[in-house]
Amino acid sequence: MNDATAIPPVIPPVIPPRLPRDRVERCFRWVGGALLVCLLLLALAVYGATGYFRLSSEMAGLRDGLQAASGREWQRMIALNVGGITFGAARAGLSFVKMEDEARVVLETIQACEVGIYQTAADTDSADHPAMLAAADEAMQKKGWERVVGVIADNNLVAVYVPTKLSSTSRMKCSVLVCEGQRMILASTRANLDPVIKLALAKADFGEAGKLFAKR
Amino acid sequence: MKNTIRTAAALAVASLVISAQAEPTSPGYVEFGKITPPGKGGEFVEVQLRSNLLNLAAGIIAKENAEAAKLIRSVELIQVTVVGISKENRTDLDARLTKVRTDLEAKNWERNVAVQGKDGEDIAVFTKTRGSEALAGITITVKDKQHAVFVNVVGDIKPEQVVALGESLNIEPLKEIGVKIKHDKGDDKGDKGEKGEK
Repeated sequence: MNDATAIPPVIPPVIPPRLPRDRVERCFRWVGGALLVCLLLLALAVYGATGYFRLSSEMAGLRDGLQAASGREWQRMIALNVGGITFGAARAGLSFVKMEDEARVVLETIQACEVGIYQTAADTDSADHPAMLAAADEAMQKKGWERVVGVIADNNLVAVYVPTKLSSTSRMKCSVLVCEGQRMILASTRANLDPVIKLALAKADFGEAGKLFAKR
Repeated sequence: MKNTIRTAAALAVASLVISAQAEPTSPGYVEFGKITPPGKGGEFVEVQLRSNLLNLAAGIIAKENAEAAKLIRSVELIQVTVVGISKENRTDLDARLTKVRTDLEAKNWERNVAVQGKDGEDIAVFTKTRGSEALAGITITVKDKQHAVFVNVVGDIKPEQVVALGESLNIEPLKEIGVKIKHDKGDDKGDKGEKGEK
């Protein structure tokens, strides 16, 4: 009777020993993952490095609009885009170096800048500057910028743009377009104007205007 | 919840409409229309300083020159357009100039200066007053053989500040009109004084 109700002995499941193949697979997975991460980091580094030679979306939009409006082929001579991280690193590095006050002020002022220089064939007719100005206005308006100055004279075109929303002088943005003969220059900068304003006011002479205001 | 969303949407739309209309509704604002630059070889200069940039400029000089900052803050917009006159755009510019002047007179702008020079210069200065003490806008149109100039300053400007504004922003016609307005004001006071005595 006792034998009939006895619980059968629990037989532990047989776990087959791990095959070396699984280990190899896992190892491959890890190595593959590590390689993927390395590749991604490399791609990011390449993207970051090439970023120095790519214009921002605002400038690229402006360039494309201008190229289309001018009806000419423009060859890129140079495109350089130096961002805030690089300028910050330069500021930090140069903070230990003795410099002229003015030079340090300039370094503190510029936070980021980019410039693109384009050239067209020398034998082509002069570009249609009114059309280019209209195209530049349209491209910049789409990005929230407005033109404050536009000049067309002596076969040259100059336009200056600022963001529609300006909040403070510590983060001032400005873009300039210059089209001179066969050359087109696009430049944009983000700057903290406070240091340069301090310096300028310290050395400023308000001249006649100052005298006029002083009378009031 | 729906009401809140509706109210927020309505406020957003209203603020957009207000901001979009802020400029044209200002009594001193003048719409010169789209002045297209002349063709190849022509001259064209356009400057548009709005209150955002002017306030920033005022903030910069506020510590050093509070009066100048106050004056610049009182200006909402400065627009200057200089167009070279060519055969192609002469008729259009003449028509535009006439239309601007006619419109201003129709809108009760006061014509302070009208000069017809020997060499074809044609200068007109209009002011729009805000109450009895300030100007809501100044408009100057100039035409000579080579150029047409359109200037519009919008804000809350005291007549005696116009010269200083012209000096600070280096706008030559403003300096000249400032002197003229001062003289006119002096004459008016003189006339009133004489009338009062009589």
